[in-house]
Amino acid sequence: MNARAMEASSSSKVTVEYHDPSGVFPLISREIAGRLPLRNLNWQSPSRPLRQIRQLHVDFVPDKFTETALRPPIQRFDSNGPTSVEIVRSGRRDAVKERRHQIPGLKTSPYLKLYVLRCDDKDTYKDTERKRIREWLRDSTQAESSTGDNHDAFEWLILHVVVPGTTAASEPRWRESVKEPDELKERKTSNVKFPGKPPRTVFDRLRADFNDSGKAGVDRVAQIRLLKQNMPPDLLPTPTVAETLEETTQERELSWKDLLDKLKVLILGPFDARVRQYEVDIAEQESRRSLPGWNFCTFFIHKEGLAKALESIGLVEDALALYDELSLGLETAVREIASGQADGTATSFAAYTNDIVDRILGFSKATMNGAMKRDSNGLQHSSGAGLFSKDYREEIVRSNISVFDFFCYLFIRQKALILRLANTAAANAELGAARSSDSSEDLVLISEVCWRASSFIPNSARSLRQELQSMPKSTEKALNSHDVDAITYSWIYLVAGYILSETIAPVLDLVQLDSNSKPLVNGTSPQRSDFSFAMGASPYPERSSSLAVRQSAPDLHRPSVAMSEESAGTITGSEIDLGTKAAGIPGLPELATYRAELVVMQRKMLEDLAQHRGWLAGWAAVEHSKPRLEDVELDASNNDERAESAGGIQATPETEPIKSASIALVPPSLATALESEQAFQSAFERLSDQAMRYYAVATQSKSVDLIIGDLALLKRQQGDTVTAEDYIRHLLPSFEADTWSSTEAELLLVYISCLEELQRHLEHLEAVLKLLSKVAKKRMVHTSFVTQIYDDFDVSGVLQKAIDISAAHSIQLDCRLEDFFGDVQFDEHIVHHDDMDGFTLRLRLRHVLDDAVEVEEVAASLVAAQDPAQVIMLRCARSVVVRPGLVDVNLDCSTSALGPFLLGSLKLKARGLTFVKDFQPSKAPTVLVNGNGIGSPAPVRNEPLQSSVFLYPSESSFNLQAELVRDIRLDKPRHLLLTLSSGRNEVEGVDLRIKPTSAGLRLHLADADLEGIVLSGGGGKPGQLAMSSLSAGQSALITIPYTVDQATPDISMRFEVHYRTPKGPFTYLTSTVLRHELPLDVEVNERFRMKYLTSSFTLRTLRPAPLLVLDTHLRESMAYTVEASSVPSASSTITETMPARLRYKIFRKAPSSGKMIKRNASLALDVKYVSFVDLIATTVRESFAEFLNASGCRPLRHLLCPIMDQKVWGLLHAPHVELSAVSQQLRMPSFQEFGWNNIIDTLPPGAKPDVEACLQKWHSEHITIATATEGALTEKVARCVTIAVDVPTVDIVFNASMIVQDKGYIDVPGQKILILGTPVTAEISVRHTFDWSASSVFGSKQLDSKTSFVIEIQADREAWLVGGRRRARVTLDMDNTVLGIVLVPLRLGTLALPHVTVQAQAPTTNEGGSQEAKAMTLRDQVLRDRAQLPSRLLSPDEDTRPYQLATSH
Amino acid sequence: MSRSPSVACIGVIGRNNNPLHIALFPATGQGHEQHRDKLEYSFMLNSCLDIFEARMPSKTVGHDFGLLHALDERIAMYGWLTNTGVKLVIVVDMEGRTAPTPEAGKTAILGLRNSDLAPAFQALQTAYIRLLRNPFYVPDEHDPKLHKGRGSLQITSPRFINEVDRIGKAWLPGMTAI
Repeated sequence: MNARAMEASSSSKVTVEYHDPSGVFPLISREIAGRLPLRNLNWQSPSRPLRQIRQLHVDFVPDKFTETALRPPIQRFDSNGPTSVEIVRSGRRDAVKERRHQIPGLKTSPYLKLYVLRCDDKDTYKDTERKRIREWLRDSTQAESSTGDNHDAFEWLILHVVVPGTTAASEPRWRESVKEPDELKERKTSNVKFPGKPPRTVFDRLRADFNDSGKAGVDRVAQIRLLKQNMPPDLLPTPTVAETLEETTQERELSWKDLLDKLKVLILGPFDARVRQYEVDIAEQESRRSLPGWNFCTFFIHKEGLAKALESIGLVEDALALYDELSLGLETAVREIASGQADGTATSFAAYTNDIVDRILGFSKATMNGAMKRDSNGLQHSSGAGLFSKDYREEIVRSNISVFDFFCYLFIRQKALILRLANTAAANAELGAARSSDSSEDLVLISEVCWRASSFIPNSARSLRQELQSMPKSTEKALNSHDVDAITYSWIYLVAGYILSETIAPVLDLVQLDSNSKPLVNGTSPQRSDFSFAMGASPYPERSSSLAVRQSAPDLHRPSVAMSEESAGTITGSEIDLGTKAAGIPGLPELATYRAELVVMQRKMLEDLAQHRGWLAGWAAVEHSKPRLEDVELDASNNDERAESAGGIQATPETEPIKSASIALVPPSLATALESEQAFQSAFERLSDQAMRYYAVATQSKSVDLIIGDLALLKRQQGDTVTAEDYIRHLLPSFEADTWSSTEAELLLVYISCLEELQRHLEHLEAVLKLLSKVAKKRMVHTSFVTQIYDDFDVSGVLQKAIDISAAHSIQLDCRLEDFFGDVQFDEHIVHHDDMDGFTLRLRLRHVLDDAVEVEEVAASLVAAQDPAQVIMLRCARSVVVRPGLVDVNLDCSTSALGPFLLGSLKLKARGLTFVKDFQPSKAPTVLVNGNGIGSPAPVRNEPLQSSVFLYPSESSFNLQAELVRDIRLDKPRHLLLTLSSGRNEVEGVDLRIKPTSAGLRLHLADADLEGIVLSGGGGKPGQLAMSSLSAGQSALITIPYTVDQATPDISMRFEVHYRTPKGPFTYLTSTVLRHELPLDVEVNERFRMKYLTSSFTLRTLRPAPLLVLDTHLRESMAYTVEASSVPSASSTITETMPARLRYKIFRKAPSSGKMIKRNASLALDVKYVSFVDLIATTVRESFAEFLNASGCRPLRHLLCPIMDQKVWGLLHAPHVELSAVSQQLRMPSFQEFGWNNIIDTLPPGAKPDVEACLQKWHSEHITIATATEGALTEKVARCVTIAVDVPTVDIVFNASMIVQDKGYIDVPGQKILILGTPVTAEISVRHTFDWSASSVFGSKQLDSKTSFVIEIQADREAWLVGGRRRARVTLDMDNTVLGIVLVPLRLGTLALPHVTVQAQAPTTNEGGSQEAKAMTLRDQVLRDRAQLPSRLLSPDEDTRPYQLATSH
Repeated sequence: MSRSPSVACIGVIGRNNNPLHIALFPATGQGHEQHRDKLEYSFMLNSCLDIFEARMPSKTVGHDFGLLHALDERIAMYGWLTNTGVKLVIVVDMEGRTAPTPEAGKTAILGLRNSDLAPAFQALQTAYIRLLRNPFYVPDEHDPKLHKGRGSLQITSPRFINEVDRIGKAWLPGMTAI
């Protein structure tokens, strides 16, 4: 007997027993089956909330009489309705099988007894049938209900089957009159029998006879009319007795509904009674729990009875809850016994399961057909069901079940219930019902089964192992420990497989290997529309279905094919698809996960079994191939337990293959997988693949990766290196993304070995370097402050190997230096070479790897802090052997420069490998929005700031000084003066490059003037001067003219001097900023006279700082002579507010023969001046230099002097300078204020104290520095600027003079004072000269003498009253024009003289018209008021006070 | 000789699924010494992160993730999640040590109860909180998202490591506090 079949029929259905004396039941059975299961029953029990039973499966079973007596008709019944036949058969079989038991709940007594009546007319009824029914009622009902308990409570029902063509068929049941279908009513019957008027129909009579009268009466009579076409002809009465009353469809439905309603009511009634009975039983048991003699098994039987009752009625959840309680109860009971606290109980369990070995190994006679049918998934080759084919309840009743079996039983029951709840295909098949298409499987519940299994299996496996170990050795063939292992593992394997086969869901078929080709099962095939999410809930982009189908076929053969697509991550295209779908179906991810866990469990068992045979696969294989050393070496301080464990490793016997003993103890399904190593590997691969796919569905990427890693290692083990490499290559990114460095490193090790085997050198090299960098990084972190290194790798020899690979295959590869070397540091100070220019800088780095390797080239670059374009290269002269630990390398440089330099880059080259570190921070572009940077927040920089090195030339090195030539001619290009000093170098050739760094500066190198050195080889390329030798200790001067395109205060340029000496080439770098702008400004004002003109010059400073003008001199030219009329004394100080004024008289020279050119005519003003800033700076510098030369710091003067210079320049702000200019002394800041410490820090440690002491001494001696404005120093600093002064030319100069003739004025010595209101006679004479005209000076065209002018005298009407001739017309040939006027002063004070205006009149001839037209004004002269006199007028002397007339061109 | 459960491995895993600390505890007892392979346990801890992730959305209350995954009859992983997303994983070896009493050996077969590991997790969490209160421990320095390119992000505090070690060795099923 199939245990499963028994369980199914007994526990999950309600049994209805029918009594069918006429053999008509088969006629209706098919129709009944079609209307089953009963739906939507509502059950309310006082102790529980209202329960709705959605489906109630009913099993119709013939009673004994029917079984025996009326078999032939059933057989004869032609069946194209197998369902009913099956029901009948299975029911019959069960009925035979049914045992009676003392303890209730273990048998399936019917809830309802059905009398199937065929009664064709009233007469038959009256004669025989009524009596038979009464007899049946008496026999069946009263006998059993007499016992008083309600364990087997039941109800009964009479079903009247009306055969067409009989009298009964002609009897109406439904009210005829009403035509409206909705109002279809049953014909009114009355239970009240009217005397003498018998009921009209058989049905009425039945009801009258058997239904209880009264309010509480239950209607126990139903009627079904058979349809003629459904009747086998031999059952029809021949001839037809009466006309059949055809029922309408409506009526038929109504009568069926009537029957089903009655079934529901009559089933629920006894069910309720039974549940109460069970509850009473359980309560009674519960109350006895603490009393001695309580037995859990007994309690279990009672409680399970209730559970089964609930289950049978369809309340599966309630049943499951009961089983869960039982399971907990069992655990408690077992725990109590185990902990020895169960003294008083009578609960007892068998010490071991006697038949379990046989069941596992498949020796039992249990059939396996139940599970074998599900082998199509390719997973399950064995029967799990056989493991549970046992009559557990028997042993429970006897209280002799083993704990292991007990748990198994409970699990199996729970599993069955959940699967039924989940509406799985398997559970539905057991119920005999076709899967309803409207409700699909509940994957959440299915996954619950898997989840329960995954915790049940390990726990029970422990029980199993325990029981196996405690088995008496004598009973069977002795089990050694390996057998125990093997059996336990096998059991786990089989159960996991069994659960997997039970919980297979069609949706998951998608991940089955062969599922893509075949259509999915009826209607549950997931439609694409099911997976369209609302509002982008999908984590993956959707794909069109056709694409997915096309892709998935190849994918599923080998995951790597899909992985090599460009899709990110390792999940294949189809897996992504599945993942997408999985997200759409509730429970699918869970189900996939738990199934995957079960598969992994199976795989683990397989591995464990194989390990006995010495076979390993996946990561485990890697582990065992590796010698374990590091743990032993670990620090002894940790504790002795490690040492103990290390000892344990050596004693571990697991690696020893045990071949012979345990092979027999493996079930046949596993035996095939363990036949050979190949078989094992393929089984391993199959399971891994399966698990991986499940994990992929559940989007558990880490687990997927892990399994792919296993597969890769398996491939590697099998020698399929190409595939293994392919797998790992796709795994690495995700491993790298995680920070699980130990796993990543392991994987890399395997990858490296694959690549090495595949001879893919470049990738091999890259992988090796990646591994090394991982290890190095880890070690670098740890070496800093933690001594203990966790998960370290032994990488000795690997770096050398990497270098060898690069050399052998000539691969050039750049790597990040900081990945391999730690603590890269440069000294902060340089050390100058003793005998030549240049310096040495020490580099220190930490080599954390294990190999000493030879590095051929070590090079570094320094970048000027101010000017990133200035780069200095340093390199190590010879190859260096880098040993583990700190390494010092001296880097040499042949360049001299001054100033702070930042580290640019560092490069280590070992054969093909170049380790590069770039110190310059990469300037990542940041997006600014509203002034705030967005994007990544500023990274936390823990790296120290860029370290800088201060470079300076040594004392006796090559040097270059740049300054401006002190003599400046404003009309000529300015000049730059470069001083090259060779120092100690025997220079063989110099190559000077000058790069202007300020805008608009042009250097005219071609016009350079050299002194002390000569050009060589044509002077070199553009922008460059190539010069010849310069012997040691010599200087050379180079003067270079330059121009600027725009007014600029400063010019700056960079010098790069490459010079060759017998010791090799050297470079000198410097840059300079020179003040181009002149500090002074000159204004000229001219006044023409007849014989001479006066030029007054105003010298101003352009800057706030004062200037000392030492000397001024106006040089005469070929056309003019100069006479100083008012020149200040030598060395006067001018400031912004105190300009210097110079006045010169300029006379015409006698016109020389020959043509005068304009340049020769112009005068030149020489101004010799000293800027106080220069003066002070130079004074300080000289003083400092003198001090240094005398002190021990002389070697550093090329460092200290420029710094002093720079600092002093910084000090010289205008007020400061003005003060020093006045007080002629400068107050120096103190040593601290000066900031020397920053400089001293950059010096070698040995030199620091001396330098500091020296500098402090200087500062203490020089609190103030006197700045004398006279002396040699002043002369040295003085500059001379030559300004060309053009003497303006005017065509004609008129001179008006006034002579007061009468004595109308008071003659005070030196002054003539007019009297208010008193007229004086004056004579105005106007003369003119051509001497200042261009024609006169340069001999160009002369003005036409015919031009006439109008002279007019005008005066302020309020000041003067002018009488006499005020206008005159003159021509140029007239020498002198005299106008006599009378002047009356009208106002007190100093009055301006009247104006004389001279206006040219256009010549009548119109000759050269426009050129001649000139306006002339007589400039007035204001006389100063000296005395409080009424009026005065100083009449200018003709000679000394000319009235000036200027032409205005 | 009956066996009882012991801690095989304690994993402290950071918010971004980076391992902060992994402590291994070899099986002890005469004839049962078993080395715990670092790599194997790393893989185990790594793959159980998937389970954390999968259960996170449905988990609303509480830290205790309970049984994550039973690998076989001996090894099972239990999880715990702190408020800051740090995951604590304890791998239990059901036969990791010699049973102190025969009864303990018998109950061990039945497996662990849910509450058995709670004290261990609580002790670990306390240790971690104490670590966080250490001013020299900057959690961001152990976060791969904030700290790219550095070597190891593991916790190096000896005090924490010793505490984890102590917890791992001290735990027994049925303890109420460690």
